[in-house]
Amino acid sequence: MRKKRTNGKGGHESRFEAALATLRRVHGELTRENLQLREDPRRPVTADAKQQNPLEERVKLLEMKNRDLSLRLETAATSRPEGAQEDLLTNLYVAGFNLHRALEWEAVLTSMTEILLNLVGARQFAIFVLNRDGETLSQVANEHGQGPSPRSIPLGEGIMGVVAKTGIPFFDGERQEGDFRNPVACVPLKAEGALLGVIQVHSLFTQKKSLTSRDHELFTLLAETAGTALMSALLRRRFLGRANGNPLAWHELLLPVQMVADDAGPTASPPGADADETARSRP
Amino acid sequence: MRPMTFLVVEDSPTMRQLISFSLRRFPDCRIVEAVDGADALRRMAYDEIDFVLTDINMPIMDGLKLVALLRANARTRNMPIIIITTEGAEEDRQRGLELGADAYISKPVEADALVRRVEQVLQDRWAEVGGTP
Repeated sequence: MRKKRTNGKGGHESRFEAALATLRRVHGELTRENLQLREDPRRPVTADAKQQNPLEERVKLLEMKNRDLSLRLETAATSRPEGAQEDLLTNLYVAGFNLHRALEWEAVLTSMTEILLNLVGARQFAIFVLNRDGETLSQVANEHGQGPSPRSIPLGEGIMGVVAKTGIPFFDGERQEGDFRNPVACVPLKAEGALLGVIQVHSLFTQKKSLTSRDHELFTLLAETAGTALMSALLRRRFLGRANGNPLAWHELLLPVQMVADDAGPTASPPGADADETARSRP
Repeated sequence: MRPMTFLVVEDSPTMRQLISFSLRRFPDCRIVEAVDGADALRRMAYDEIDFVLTDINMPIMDGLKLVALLRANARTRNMPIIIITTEGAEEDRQRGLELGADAYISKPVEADALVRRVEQVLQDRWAEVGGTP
């Protein structure tokens, strides 16, 4: 199995330099295209024609893109360490805040989904939780379709299975696009050190070329905080469902094998919910 | 002097919080939040807003409709607007700019980049009227 981790400072710096060079190149190309379009004889001169000609809109968009690139170049060239640190702290604060305020299972999954989408920039991903048998993982939420990822996988199988078994996260710091068998990232979800599930990221947004050290920090936070939040949601649900019942054993909190709803998604019910519990909650 | 007031229009609570938290880097600013375009218009009816940052895809009223309405209203015609777009939304982005948005920023949003974009729009606006920020 190929297992790659982001290397030390040298690797990041070379990738940064390469990204900067690419940005400079695109910036130059856009500037040239912009000038060509501006000098195009078909370019309208009257105000009315200006509104109608798509070339004018193209010029406008190119100018906007060019300014965007200029700003990115400037940001990259003058990036302040404290700016990056502030970005990281902002993201960690927002992620932590949203996970801590979620009590319901569905709310925790929604929060996790939003963090992966909006803070990490993950395009396709799936969240799996450990079943009660302790040997399989079931999918409880996903984004951008289930794709090739299965509903349930045995512990120890594939990258995700190994991550779940060992508790060691996996990051491919150089890729943007992957699939279920070759994910971009795979992170264990833990509660008090015990494995509860796994987040697997299959691909990133196109504007996000690879995972950064900030994403690693976010994943570290997710691994611990989201795992604890999921466990709290399960405990709360069990407690509310069994207010008059017997004390719970640890293994009862783990999830039965067949507990994933057919429409597994961010709003899917906790797979561990008992049928009698669900029935009790019905009006 | 009245503090600058930003209106953050975004249906995702995580994104809304991230943007608002990032904007707090501007000293003495006020931040008003809205969950969609219609909510934004309601808030603008009784709050003085100086700058709008809006998502595109939202329920009830999307960001494009909001931009169009703000540009059509004499009171908000010149208000600086930044649209927040997702990947593969080139058409939405272009449409937003055509409707009069000042700039766009793509998700995932980085706080530092967002602040710089806001600063740039403000500088451009000041340059247009021949003033200094």
